[in-house]
Amino acid sequence: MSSPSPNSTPDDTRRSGGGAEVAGAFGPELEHLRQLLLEPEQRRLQALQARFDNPDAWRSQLNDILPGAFYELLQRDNSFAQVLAPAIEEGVRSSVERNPEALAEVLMPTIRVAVRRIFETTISSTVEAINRTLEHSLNVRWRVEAWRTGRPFAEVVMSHTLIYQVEQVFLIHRESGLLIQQVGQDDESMQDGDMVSAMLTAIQDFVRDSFKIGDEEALNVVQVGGLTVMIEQGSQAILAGVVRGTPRSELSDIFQDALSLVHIQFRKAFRSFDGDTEPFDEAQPALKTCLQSTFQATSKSPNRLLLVLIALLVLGGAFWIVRDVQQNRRWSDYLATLADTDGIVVTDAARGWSGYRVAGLRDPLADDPQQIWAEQGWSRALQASWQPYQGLEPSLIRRRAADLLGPPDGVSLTLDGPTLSLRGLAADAWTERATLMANTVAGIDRVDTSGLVSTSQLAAVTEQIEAVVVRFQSGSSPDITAGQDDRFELLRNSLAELSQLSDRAGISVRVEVIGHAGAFGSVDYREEISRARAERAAEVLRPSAPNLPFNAVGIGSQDPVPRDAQGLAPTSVSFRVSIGDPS
Amino acid sequence: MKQKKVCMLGAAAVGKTSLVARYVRSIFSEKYHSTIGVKIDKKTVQHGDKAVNLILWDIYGEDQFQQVQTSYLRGASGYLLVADGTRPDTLDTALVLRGRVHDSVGDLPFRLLINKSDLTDQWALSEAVLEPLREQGWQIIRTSAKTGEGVEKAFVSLTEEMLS
Repeated sequence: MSSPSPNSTPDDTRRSGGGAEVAGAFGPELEHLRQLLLEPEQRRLQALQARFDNPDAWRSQLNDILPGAFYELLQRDNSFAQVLAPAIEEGVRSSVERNPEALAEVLMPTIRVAVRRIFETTISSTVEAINRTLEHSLNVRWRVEAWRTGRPFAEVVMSHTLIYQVEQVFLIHRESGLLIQQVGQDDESMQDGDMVSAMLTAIQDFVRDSFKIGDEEALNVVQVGGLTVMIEQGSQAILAGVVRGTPRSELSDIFQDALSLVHIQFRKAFRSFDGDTEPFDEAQPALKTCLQSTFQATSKSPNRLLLVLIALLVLGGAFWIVRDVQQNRRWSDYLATLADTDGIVVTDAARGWSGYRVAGLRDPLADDPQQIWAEQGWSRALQASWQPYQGLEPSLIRRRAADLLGPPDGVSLTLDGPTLSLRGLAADAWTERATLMANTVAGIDRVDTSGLVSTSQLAAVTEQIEAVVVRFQSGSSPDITAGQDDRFELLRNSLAELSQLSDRAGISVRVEVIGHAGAFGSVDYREEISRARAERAAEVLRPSAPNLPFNAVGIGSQDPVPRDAQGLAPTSVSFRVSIGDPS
Repeated sequence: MKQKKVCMLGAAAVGKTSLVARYVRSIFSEKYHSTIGVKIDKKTVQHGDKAVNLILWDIYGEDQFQQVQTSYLRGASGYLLVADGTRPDTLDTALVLRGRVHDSVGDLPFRLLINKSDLTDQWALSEAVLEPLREQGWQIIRTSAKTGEGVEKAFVSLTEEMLS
């Protein structure tokens, strides 16, 4: 008897001849039993088949399984990573070749940060060095130390303020120990980096071999006295920094960042490295970010002495500037005064530390420059050097003429172009001499004497006026005695001439009209009647010489009693001419 | 500038250090040999119009007390095997070292230097011993630290092969 295979489906069983015979032999009972025994398994098989036939279901299940499986494989050892590495590398390469922009976008933030750090480090280290030297530039003790030891002052400042400084950085090929690049604070300390790199690699190998350390482990710090060699490990290269002082923890991060950047930047160059370091020249900026220097924080409170010194310097500077501006302005004013002074021509003027100096031409008649200097309030001496010359300014010509002619009081000299005008009261002899001599003065071509009045002429007119007596009638009324027309005619003519002479010569002339009275009546009455007579005479005569001032006074019966051709004239008016200062 | 790492290997007292002392620049003292087992020197060789810096890893001589640390061979571009012409056993050591180098870093350009060629009266290595090595393609150069014979040639020829 054959039984159906456990893997057979009911349909299979039904299709087979053997199955039909069995069904026929055992009937529905057997079929029912078979279904009871095999149905669960058949259902599972159908479900599996359905899963195989449906890719979406497969994918969904794999999505759940794969992350966990990858995680376990990576945890176990690095064989899975090694298997994946070529595929990932190839994928990345293919991606870069197809679309470089995509990878650039991913890396750009990292590169940007690194480049910014390079720039910031370079700028800040320069600024910091300048600041530090300036800040301590007034430290006398350190100045003395620098002078005593013969070291540069900046070096002394650094020795006192340095916490640590990375003096040299080596980028070393990990496998061969060959020096790829080297940077340092100065060129002097950068010799034989290639041998130092090799020896450093040898020491690392020695330590690793001696203490049975794995390849992934390495010597990270070598410390000798005040020097520390900090070593960061990369997959292709190691970065070793020689640090003077006590490095801080953040320095390791800076080294690691620089090393990572170099690995990213020079991935291809590392792969084909054959001892040629030229392709790595561009790594210098990244390595220079490792040349860190940290100095002791200086006191934030400002140095009081320094502040006082600075304040004094600022005040002194401000005072000096203000004073200099003022002095310069005064000096300019003085030179302007000299330029405006007739008879002075400044040809050279200077103001400096040694004093004030001026030179030029000067007419002996010009104002004295030293006197002007003193009048303007200068306390410092003026070094002046003048060559004499004759100026032709009108004021100088006039002054020169005045010196030569010696005009009498009351005679004025005015110059109008080449014409010298004389005006005033002068003797005929002087007028004659002046007319001759004035023409000898440079700048005078003509002499105008129309303004001169002869003293003799004026005296004659005055005498004529003062010789006239006008009689008045006795009594209390100021009545002019009749029959004196000739006297009035003479007076009018003389007064008119006197007025004309006064105008011409510019001299002031006053005519006093003096009233007289007889012995009759009281003194007051006499004075009153005599003043009334004087006023009356002045009233009559004033129209003949309206420009002349008339002064009417009454003197009563005081002496002298006037006299005319008829004898004494007690009730009369007499005249006196007064010549005053020229107007 | 191009750089190459070159190792110097050989039995103790075959004259490795003396061989190059006059021709290299050195900043490290001899005591490194007895401390960490290697001393670094530098030799600049002119190749065409370019200079090549050979960074010489002068590895402490192999003897019964100390074995060459193969980690020092890593990254080398070539090496110099040195034997003493007056001591035939040093050639055996050189052959052992050659095998160790090959196992450690693979097939690299090298030269076999038979040193102390000036000691002709004490010479103990016959050409017959060296002939099989030559037949295998070994470049063998007689050198003398005393006269300088062969030294420059050894460096130049090794450099040319390394750069070819």
